[in-house]
Amino acid sequence: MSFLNFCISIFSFKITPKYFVLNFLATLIFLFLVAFILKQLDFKITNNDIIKSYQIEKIKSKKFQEINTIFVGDSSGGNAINNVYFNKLSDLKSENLCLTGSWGLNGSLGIIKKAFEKNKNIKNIIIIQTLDIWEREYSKESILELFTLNEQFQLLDNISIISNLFNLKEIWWHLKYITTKDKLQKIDLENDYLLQREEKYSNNKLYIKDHENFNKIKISQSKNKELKMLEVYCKDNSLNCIFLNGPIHKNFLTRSIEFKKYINSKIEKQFSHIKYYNDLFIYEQNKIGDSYDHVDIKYKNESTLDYFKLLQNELVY
Amino acid sequence: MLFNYVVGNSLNNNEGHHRFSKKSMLTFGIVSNIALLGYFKYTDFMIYNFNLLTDANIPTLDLALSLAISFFTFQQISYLVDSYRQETKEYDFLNYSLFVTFFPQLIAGPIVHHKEMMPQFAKIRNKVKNYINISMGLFIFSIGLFKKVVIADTFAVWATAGFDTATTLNLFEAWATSLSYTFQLYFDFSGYTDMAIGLALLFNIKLPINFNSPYKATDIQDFWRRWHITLSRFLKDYVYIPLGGNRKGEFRTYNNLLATFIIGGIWHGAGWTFVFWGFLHGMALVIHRAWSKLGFKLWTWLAWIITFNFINIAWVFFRAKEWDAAVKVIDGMFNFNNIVLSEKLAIKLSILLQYGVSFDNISVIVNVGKALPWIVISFVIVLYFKNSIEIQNKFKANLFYFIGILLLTITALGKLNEFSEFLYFNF
Repeated sequence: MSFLNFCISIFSFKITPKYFVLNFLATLIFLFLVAFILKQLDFKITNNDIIKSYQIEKIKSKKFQEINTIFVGDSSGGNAINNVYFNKLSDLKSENLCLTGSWGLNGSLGIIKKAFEKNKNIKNIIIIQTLDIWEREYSKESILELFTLNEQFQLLDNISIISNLFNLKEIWWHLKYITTKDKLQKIDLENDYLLQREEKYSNNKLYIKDHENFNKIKISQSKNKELKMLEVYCKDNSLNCIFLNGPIHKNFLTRSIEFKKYINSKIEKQFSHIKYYNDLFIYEQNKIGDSYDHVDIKYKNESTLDYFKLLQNELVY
Repeated sequence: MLFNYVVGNSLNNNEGHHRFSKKSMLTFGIVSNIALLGYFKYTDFMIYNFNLLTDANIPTLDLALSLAISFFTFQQISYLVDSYRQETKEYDFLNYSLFVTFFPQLIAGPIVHHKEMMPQFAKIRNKVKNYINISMGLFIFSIGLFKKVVIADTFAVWATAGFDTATTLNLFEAWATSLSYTFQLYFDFSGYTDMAIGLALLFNIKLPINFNSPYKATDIQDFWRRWHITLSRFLKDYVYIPLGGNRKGEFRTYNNLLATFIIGGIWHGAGWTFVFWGFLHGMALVIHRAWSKLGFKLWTWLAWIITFNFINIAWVFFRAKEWDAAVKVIDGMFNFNNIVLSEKLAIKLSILLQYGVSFDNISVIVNVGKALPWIVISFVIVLYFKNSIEIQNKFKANLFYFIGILLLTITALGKLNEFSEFLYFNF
């Protein structure tokens, strides 16, 4: 029997309609269960998993009890703040707990909640978000990953929660991870953030293109909703929350004149309890890392100093 | 539902004396149904046009459209007309209610006829579990789910970007937008129909075919024999033929065709773009009829190109939320002064600069690079593959089909997290 005939005979193997139906349903239920178990095991299979677990480990550590200031936000803040240097400058005890942009403001809120649950002595919360955060989609995933199940049911519809718990994509992601695990980013412990790519603006392997700008950015309703939740949390817990813009490549901002006006006219008005500074932290090509909003690691102290200068009179001791 | 059941039964009842003539009762029944549909679906449209014409400022009602109202209105009108024609039997109210509200086809069709449904509901054997039908139902359902979730929803991203967000489109973006919608609509609607057919089969109910490879059509009449077959059937039996059909001379036939398709256009949505879409199809049918009468014929491939492109262009008006959006896409499709090629080709094809071709990022609004392979594959599927009904007829409960439906279902369920509304919910 040739291989082809063998395959044909296997695929033509007849099943009774009853077993066809029952096996189909049983296989689906089995796969949903596998997806559910993989979700609960929470393996680190993506860059977002890695950074989340890295920052949560910091919160769980004993040392965290001494902290009174935390930095939250996305990678623009993660790459811009050296908390050790900031501690020296400010005489405070701070920790950098920034995630990445895809976690959105909900991600920052989730981290703040976890940090504050662990340490009630936290007084200052510095939120640093990249400039284009305002137009991004509502960060549903952050709620699913960082909020309690009760909070999830209050904030999201049941279908989203259930489909997240039984997401068949989990199986695919785990299978993909086996083949791509070497490509995942690793934590740079010395510089306290995800390892950056080789291609950087500072080494002239990246350039801002002509059409790249922020001029079309408008505050989305969903992001406003996230901000309101952040406001409520800061107010209810009497936290000194300060919101700052993430760093940006000079050439990028030069092409975003409309956006600069928008920041002053619109974004500022969205804040009530949280203190917002519309100052922009602009850096030349040689000081920017692997993304237009990442300061090169070599200049992390410089950007930390820039942020400190702005914050020094606003921090609670 | 109760109203239509009572009116239908009265129309069907030959015995006894009626206070009103049957024709008056039928007219009252039809007008009541259309009035209800009109109130929910067309009031705002009429207010808007009235305001426009008279400079008045009457506020719109912003009524929530009752789900599936267009579909169950048509089904019930056909029931009334057939009762008047004495073509209905004395169905019981429970079966009648099931006929109108049968959930698999309720929200987006197929538009079923009482003659094909009522006997199935009444059949005792259909109330017994049948694994052959269940397995076939799961099979056709999985194909439909895959078509909707994986293919149609992928095209939806590019269609939405082109129609709703762009202010101008270059030539390739405009074609990618229109073709994306053409395929989105087909895979969405036929996928939904497959799911309805599959779900109904789980209950031993066979729904009528609604699609038969419509994009293989080589003329517009052929297209309407393949696309939304149950709507075409309704329009033919309850609009075109009562208007006189082709029995009252050639000129009247053309008028009837045009009127039928304009009504079909309005049925799809309350907007001038829908009316224009119906008008375009009506005109195309008139031209096709006149052309055929004169005995002209085209090569099959040329006939297909003309038919497909006409359908593709007409869908632009069907999809556009406003007239300007339709004009923007059509303008982009035929504006040969706005050809943008990938900047990667700038050096190799620099000679084209003198002909007005520019080199830039070709996918600013619509990701042409990503859409292109999907469009090519979709062409292959709709033109060279068997449609789901043809595949269903070959279905056997064996390992091949088992693995097939498992893969289709898993892929679709995996992608469901990004689901969007079914397009035909609003019609």
